Amino acid sequence: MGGYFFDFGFIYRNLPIFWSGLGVTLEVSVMAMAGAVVGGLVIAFGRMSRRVWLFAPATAYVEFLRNTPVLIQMFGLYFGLAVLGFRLSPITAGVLALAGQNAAYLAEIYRAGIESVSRRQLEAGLALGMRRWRAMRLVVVPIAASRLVAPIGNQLVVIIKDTSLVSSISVYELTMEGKRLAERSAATYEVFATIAVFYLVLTSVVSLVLRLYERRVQLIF
Amino acid sequence: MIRVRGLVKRFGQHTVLHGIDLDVARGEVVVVIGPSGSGKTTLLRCLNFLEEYDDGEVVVDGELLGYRRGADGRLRRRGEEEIAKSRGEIGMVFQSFNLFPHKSVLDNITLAPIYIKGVRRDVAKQVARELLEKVGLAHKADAYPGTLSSGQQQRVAIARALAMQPKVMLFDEVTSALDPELVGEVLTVMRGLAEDGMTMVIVSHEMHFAREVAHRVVFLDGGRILEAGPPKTLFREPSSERLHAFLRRFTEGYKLSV
Amino acid sequence: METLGTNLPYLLRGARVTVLLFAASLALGTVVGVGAGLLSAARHPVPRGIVAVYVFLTRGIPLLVHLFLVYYLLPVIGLDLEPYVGATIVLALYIGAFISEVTRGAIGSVSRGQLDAALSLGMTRGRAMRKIVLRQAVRYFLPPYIGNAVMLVKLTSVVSVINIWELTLAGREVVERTLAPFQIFAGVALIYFAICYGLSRLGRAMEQRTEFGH
Repeated sequence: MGGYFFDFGFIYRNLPIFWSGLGVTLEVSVMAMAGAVVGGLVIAFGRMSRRVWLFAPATAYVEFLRNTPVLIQMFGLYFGLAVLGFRLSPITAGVLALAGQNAAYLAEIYRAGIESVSRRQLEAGLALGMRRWRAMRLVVVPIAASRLVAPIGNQLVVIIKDTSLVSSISVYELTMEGKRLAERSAATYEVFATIAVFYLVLTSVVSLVLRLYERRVQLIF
Repeated sequence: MIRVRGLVKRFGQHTVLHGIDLDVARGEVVVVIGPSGSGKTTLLRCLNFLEEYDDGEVVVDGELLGYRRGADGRLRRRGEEEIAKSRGEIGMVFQSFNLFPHKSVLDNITLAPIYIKGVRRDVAKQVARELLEKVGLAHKADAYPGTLSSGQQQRVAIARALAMQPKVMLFDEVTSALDPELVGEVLTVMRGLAEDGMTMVIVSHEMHFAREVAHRVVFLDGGRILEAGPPKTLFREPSSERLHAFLRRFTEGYKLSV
Repeated sequence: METLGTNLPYLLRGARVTVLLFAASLALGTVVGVGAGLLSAARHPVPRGIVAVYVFLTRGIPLLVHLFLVYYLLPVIGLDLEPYVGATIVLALYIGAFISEVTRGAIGSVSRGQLDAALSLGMTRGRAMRKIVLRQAVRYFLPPYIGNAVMLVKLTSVVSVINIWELTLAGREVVERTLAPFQIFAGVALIYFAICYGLSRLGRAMEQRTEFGH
């Protein structure tokens, strides 16, 4: 090891590379999150349905995705679909895999949120003369939504961390850039320490914003 | 039995008790009344050191509670073992009963005597059954708390506290969480204890009970004792405006005939 | 289908490594996690603070980055760890942070009144915690703990990215050889599913046995 404790200069000179990686990480995270939020709603609808032909596939989907690693889902989509003729770009495969996996988790979170609003509040709405759907919309959903802020935000943090896995299919996000930089230089642990700090700041900011929003929502309710 | 001088308790910046002076003689029943937020529960919890008071002294049966006075006159906190031992001589019953759900009624009562006082299991069980008899629940010895009504749970809680043969019994709004028709059975037990000569400090809203059973009533407001005296005097001729206003709330609708 | 069939034994050997890796890191991680969780319930602020920092740093950074850090850091400080040992330790410390939060939550779920009652009967704080609070905390601890165990099984797949051999890497090798990614990865997914689902069922059975109020 050289005389330096930490080669700050190297990091400083290569900041553009880190920024670029961070940008891709954010891109992938946001797209995956959007996909998961929407996909989760669809799946949740199926999970809460009383019709078997909606309930069964939704349940199978959730069970399968929650019990298999996202890495396998990613490889399956990227390499598997390529053989069947659908050649996906690495980013697309990565986003789809992350969205798919987290849609399963969000579906269960939505379901738990809706079911956690006690029957009494729904009945209060019905007693006031609202029809079932209106009561759901005006009473149950807003209350459920306020309780969902925390778990959903938490999934965003999970997604951000899981984007590091798309480095294994050569997407040039933060971890991948770090790996490339480390392999080309001698400042390996500086690079990864910096990567770690980047992720830490990212997840902390998201968590902080989440907690502030939660507190605001709680004041309203 | 209990001597409180200048008791102060703070939570962060907020002072809840502003220097309380209180004496409770052996065999005396003292009922503490006051509006919510006045510090009644905090005061009670200081009496068995569940809350660690910040200034003043609480002396129970001649011994300073929770602290030891050093040679320099300063207060130093006693060790866990000593504090636990003092608490064993003071019984407390809570508003939410706090029975141990994972143990049967009998086990709830025998747990402390067996593990803390080293009483033999069969002796402890015998004593427990006698206590259950006293509170009218001998037939529920092997039941689990989850199967009992709230009134029954509270009576078991009283038996559990009595099993340690305390010198003083503290009651923290023990009937407030009960359905109205179950309040009577618990008050009956408490009346019996008073008649047996137990020293009791009771925080309660049950004014009729206070008038009947208490030797002295203490009115706490804003962390200070505003008035204290025999129930008949206090209820009939409250000297402070605050007590007057407080009592008025209880007499609207029905007459508190004192 | 035959491709999957002929390669199944190889994949199952990978699965065996995955299970061993999982078991070792769960055992170590549980000790670390429960220990940390108990420390976070301490009255003194210092142990609480140390655990808070540990949880913050561990959970704020992806597992893969932790693995890279250790992988690149060790030669620098002159430590030579056998890859599986290193991976187990990193996995254990990672899951330990999650288990620590589960422990803290479980203890917090036991109502304060239980501790009050135990203390008022004359139990020392330590005894009250052990016999009354912790005994009840187990009921709140198991479900999220099992959830984290299942998460750990899936996390073991991440070590494949730094070329540590287990089920996922075995799968990738077979795919490279046979060029039948769909079959093979489906098969690998099913093996993971079997392990995770089995673990969940086991967990639920254990939960049933800790119900009280017989």
